[in-house]
Amino acid sequence: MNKIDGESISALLDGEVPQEAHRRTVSNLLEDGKPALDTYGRYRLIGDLMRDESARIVSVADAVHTALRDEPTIMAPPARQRARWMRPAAGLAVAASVAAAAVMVAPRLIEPEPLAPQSVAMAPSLPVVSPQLVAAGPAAGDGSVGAGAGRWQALDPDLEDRLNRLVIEHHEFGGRTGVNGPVPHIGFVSYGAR
Amino acid sequence: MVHAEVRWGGLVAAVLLGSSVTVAADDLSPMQLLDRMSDAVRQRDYEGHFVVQAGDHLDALYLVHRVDGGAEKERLVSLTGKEREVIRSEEAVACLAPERDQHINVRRRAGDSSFSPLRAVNASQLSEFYRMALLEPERVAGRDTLQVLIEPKDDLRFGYRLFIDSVTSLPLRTVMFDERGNTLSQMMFVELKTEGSITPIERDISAMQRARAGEERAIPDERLAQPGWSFSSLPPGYQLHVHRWRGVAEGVREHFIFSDGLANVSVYVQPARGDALKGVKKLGAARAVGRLVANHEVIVVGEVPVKTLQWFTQHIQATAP
Repeated sequence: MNKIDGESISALLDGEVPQEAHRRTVSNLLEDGKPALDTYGRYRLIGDLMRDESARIVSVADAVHTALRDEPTIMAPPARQRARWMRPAAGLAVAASVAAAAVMVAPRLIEPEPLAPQSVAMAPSLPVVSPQLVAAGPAAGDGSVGAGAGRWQALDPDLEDRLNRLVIEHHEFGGRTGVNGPVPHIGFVSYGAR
Repeated sequence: MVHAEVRWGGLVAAVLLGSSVTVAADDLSPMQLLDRMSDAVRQRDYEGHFVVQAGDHLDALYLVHRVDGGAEKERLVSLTGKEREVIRSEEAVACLAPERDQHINVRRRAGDSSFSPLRAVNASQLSEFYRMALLEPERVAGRDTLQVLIEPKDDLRFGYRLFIDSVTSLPLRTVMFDERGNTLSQMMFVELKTEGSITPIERDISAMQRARAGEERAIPDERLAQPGWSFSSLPPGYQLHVHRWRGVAEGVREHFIFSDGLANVSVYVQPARGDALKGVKKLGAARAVGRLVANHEVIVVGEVPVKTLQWFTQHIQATAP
């Protein structure tokens, strides 16, 4: 059973844990291990991003996690010693968890295109293009995509980023039926990651 | 003893409820199953691991989807290959690609994607372009599924084989195939949780996305009056579902989304730039076609045959002023 939940982690980060409970909360965080530390790291990173304090974070997760795992005094130190131990240990935990989260989240987040206001209208309000325009026109072009046609990866990086955004918007605003899986953007996370 | 009777009664009720749901699902038509599935993916809580295959590549992903107070939230994380993650909330979607130092953040309005294109078509319209049948039930991720085969009647759309959970109506496996029956891509859950403790999604995610939204670009009012582009012909079955504008560095980008109820096609038009997309590109089952028209770049994307995308690029025209 977990000793610490998301609310407590959030309170810890926000400095809202009472002084008398601070030590126990940090101890619970450490005892719950990697899942709790990952959550702590993610919350911390989100906070940094909201304050625009994101910076390149060196991925040292494995080393720090190993250090934590190999340090038995973290789990049950004498109370007095823990008071001195706690700050570096907590700092280590932050480093570990933030680094772990940094593996998942871009170290330097960029906005290829600033967001802009969008005007969305559904088909009935747009008579310019309507089903009445549908006609059995000629089939256009060659439908095959040969090996030389190129994949996203073969594109110029800027164009590839632009195309990624267009595909994301395509999935995001097109609604969903589930025929391509329960959620959109599976392609971005899987094929696009190669 | 009374306590035991109550528990026994509850068990009987649960069994009856479960069996009635199963029987009801068994009796549904393919179209009704599709409707249930499209509701389930948006309205249910679920969490699990699944594999995705495209060509000879196989990837594993983790997914959690929650509906909190009517608002959808999602996290999708790659477990193989490069680390990527998508976080969605009602207000925005953040697509994180650390290996490219890239963060694509798209802001949207609540409900922009919480609809099903299937709602715009009925069974008879869909049957004009697809042949649908129920196949033998199969087990996926340890659960019973109903199998629906959806075959296109022409070469302007792909086909699907769906394995729909008989209890939750969630798609546990989906297969997309081309006009020759070759598999283009598929996903399949190996483990799925739909009840009990679904992992929470951090409360601050949407706030993070808003914080990273950046400056907004103004769009001239006159451009919002009507689309600047129209189509002299559309592929049979495809109707316009969404039209939106977006300010970009080059000016205004128009975005049209067409759908036949199952397959979607996006058409983007914006002032041309140096690195305009030309020709055909693909990624997994997605295809993209680019063309220059009247000093504008037209890019059409979708998980449909290239022939369908090219139809749009060849029939788009500027609307007369």
